[in-house]
Amino acid sequence: MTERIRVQDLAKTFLGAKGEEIRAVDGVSFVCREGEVFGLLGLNGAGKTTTLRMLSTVLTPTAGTALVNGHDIASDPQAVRESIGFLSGTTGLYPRLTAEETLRFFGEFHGLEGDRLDSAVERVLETFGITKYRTQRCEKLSTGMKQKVNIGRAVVHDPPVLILDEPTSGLDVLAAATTLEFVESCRAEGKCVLFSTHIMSEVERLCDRVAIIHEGSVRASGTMAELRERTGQRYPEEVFRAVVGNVE
Amino acid sequence: MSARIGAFVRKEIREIVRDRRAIILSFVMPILVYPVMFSLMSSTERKSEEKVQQEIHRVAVSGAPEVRDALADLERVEFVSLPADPKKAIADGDLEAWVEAPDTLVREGDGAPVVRIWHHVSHDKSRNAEERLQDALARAAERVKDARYQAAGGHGSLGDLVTLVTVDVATKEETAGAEAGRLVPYLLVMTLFIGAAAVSTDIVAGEKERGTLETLYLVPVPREVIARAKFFVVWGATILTGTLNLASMAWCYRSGLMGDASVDVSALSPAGLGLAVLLIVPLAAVVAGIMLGLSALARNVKEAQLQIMPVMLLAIIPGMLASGQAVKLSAMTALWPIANVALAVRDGLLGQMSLPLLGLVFVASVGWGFLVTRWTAGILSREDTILGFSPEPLFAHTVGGRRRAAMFALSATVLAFFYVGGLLQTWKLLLGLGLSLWVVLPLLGAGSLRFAGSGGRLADVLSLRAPRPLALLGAVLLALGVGVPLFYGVMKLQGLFLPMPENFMGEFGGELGEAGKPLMLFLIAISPGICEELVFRGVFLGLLRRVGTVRSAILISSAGFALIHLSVFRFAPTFLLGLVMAGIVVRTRSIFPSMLFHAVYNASVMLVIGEGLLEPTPLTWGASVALFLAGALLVRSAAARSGESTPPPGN
Repeated sequence: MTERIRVQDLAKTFLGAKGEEIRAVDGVSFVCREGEVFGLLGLNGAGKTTTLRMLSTVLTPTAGTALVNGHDIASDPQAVRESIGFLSGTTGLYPRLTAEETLRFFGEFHGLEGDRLDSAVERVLETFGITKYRTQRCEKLSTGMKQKVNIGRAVVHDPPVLILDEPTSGLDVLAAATTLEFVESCRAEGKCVLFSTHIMSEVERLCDRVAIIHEGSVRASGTMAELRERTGQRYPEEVFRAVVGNVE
Repeated sequence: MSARIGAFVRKEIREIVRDRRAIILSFVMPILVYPVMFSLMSSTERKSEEKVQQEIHRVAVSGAPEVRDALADLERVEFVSLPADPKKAIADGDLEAWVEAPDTLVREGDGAPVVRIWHHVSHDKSRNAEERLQDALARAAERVKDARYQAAGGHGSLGDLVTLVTVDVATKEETAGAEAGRLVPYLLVMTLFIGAAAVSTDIVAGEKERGTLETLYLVPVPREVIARAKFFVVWGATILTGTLNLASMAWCYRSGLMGDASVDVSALSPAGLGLAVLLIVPLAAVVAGIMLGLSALARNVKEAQLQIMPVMLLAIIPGMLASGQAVKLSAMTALWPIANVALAVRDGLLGQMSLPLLGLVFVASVGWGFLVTRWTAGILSREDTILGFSPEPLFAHTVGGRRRAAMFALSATVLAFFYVGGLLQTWKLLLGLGLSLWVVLPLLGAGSLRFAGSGGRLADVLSLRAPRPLALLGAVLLALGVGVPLFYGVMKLQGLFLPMPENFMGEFGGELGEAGKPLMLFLIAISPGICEELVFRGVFLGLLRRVGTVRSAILISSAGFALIHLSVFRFAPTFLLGLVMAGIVVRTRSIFPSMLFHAVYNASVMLVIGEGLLEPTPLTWGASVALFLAGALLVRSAAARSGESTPPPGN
């Protein structure tokens, strides 16, 4: 399988309120391939979001490199952004734009125009069952519908790589189910999905391989079966605890 | 009940106190910033008022000699003979006022004799003269009336001795301009700020709050494009707001809803209104940039509003400066951001447009707009801005933090040297000059080095290295060659756009001239050569080179050097000199050649050019250019031999 994401010794340092250095990500390395869902597991503040933001080029790494779809995140950020669809709990929608206007706006920025844009928007509206709501402003949509529009916004340009940062965070059961079904469909289409979460049931259901990240560095990686064997634990929560230790 | 209220109040206070930004903006800003700003404003106004108070008014008096006698004691009035057309003379500014009295002050029937004071409402000197004449005549009439009353035994009434009538010679257009000029600039600035604030808060801080800014920065376009697009939106909205407000104000004036109903504002000068509309464009760029930058620094709409609020209050100041006539549009005020446009719009409405000054206002505003947009684009490209993180500490020990610290130290040095040095030199010129150069400036330099320094050997930062003899010789030749091109080339060229006051060069004589040549050489050539070089080519060039490119360090340190001379007329030549001296330090890796250059140049100006001993003939031009080129070659060759042009660590 072709490598879609290669992360090598990636690091990010922030400055604290008193000017002190905080190493949010400290030498993370992993590889994700096409047709694979790769899970990034970790507690809140472990460094998952910072890693994914560096891969989506919103943040610049302090050290290390990463290639996304063959493009270097530091030297060719635009090509990286053309290749990815990014979705997280914090990527919001423009409340005063309608669902269709939102899809068109982001489609245009990804170089779609004319018939290609029209067909891409129609495809997304149909795939996610939001045709009926296309003229409604996003602020008027239900949480589930908003999530569907947001996913549609991320994939309107049909990217080969998807980066999803805790995409079910704050969603109700139905909206979360829609998101998980979408991830599965992406894998079926041969896309590479990098998926961060701290919900173990999602890991069990979706991830082909995982990396457990703690205090900014990868503590273990492999399939869940491999991690079970390595830690001698049966349940995912126990596997996780065995890797990161007892953390308050 | 009261205990529960108390618990809530304590909790709310605890939360408010822990919101540092709110505390700074709500309490620290009003306590520190406003007093400084308003005292600066009132001091500027006071100085202008004092200047007006010292002006001599040219007044013509015709008719009864008693009127002339009544005004005889009035100070600062020059009585001139009545011109052939006094009204035209007033309108042209050749005469401030004309007191027209009947030949004899005899009552006719019940009416008192009429004394008219002709003046021009939109010439503040004329208006000032009219007020003084009216006061003086009214007081004189009262005195005469009292005397007559007493002479009559204190019985009966004499009625009014004279009836004073003021007559404005201004045209309808000028009167309307005077009326509109008081209010329009003030309202224009305020409405531009309001318009820009509404849009910028929503499209940056609002986007952060809604989480859409991060979504937007995921699209495959450079961040600068997004920043520029946002700027254009706010700029456009601000221009629209300004134009609509101007149109609405004009309509309100015409309908009598605003201003003095007796004034025919339909007569407002189309040129003045056109100018106001034209100047909205660069002013809106400055305002839009400021509002967008402030909004980008905020993490949410509430913070943006908190940050914008004090700036909106400060925006009152330029409008207020323009609502009176105390502050003039000059070569200096034309450079002030925002206030320059307010003053130009006022003058345009008053029909007192000076094309060179308007050009300067336009260029300065475009320059400020450019600087502000660069600042805004920088903020909108920052990670902490996009994601709403707490920004990096302002003066952190990072490259950015050290750069901000160096810039802050440079600004503080310029301001402190200006005020402290100015006070010392006002107290005692010679001693003050010596203290400014040998005490104040080194202290400021040392403080800046301590505050903005980032380690490294002091000798390396200050370029305290023994120079090659060729470098010293090159510096001397450069100094001898630069005087003629600077004085007879650059300053003459500058004079085309920025005419120099007649007594400008004379200002440097006076008390200094009486000091004797050795002391003058020490104060004007040697002291700046050592002290100014140590601070500007030593401390600031050294600090800035470690946190940015050599080119930007040369430009910024030279601008600081030019600013301490605090004269708009001297900015360009001193800035160019700064560039040459910084270039010498960078090339030779030593500060000593630039010290020598500075001392020799100042001495040559004082002893040769200042004394008028060197005329700008083809021979002197040729010799100067040859000296300059020879000096440049020597400095260059000295640099090449010492393996120069290696940047210091950090570059």
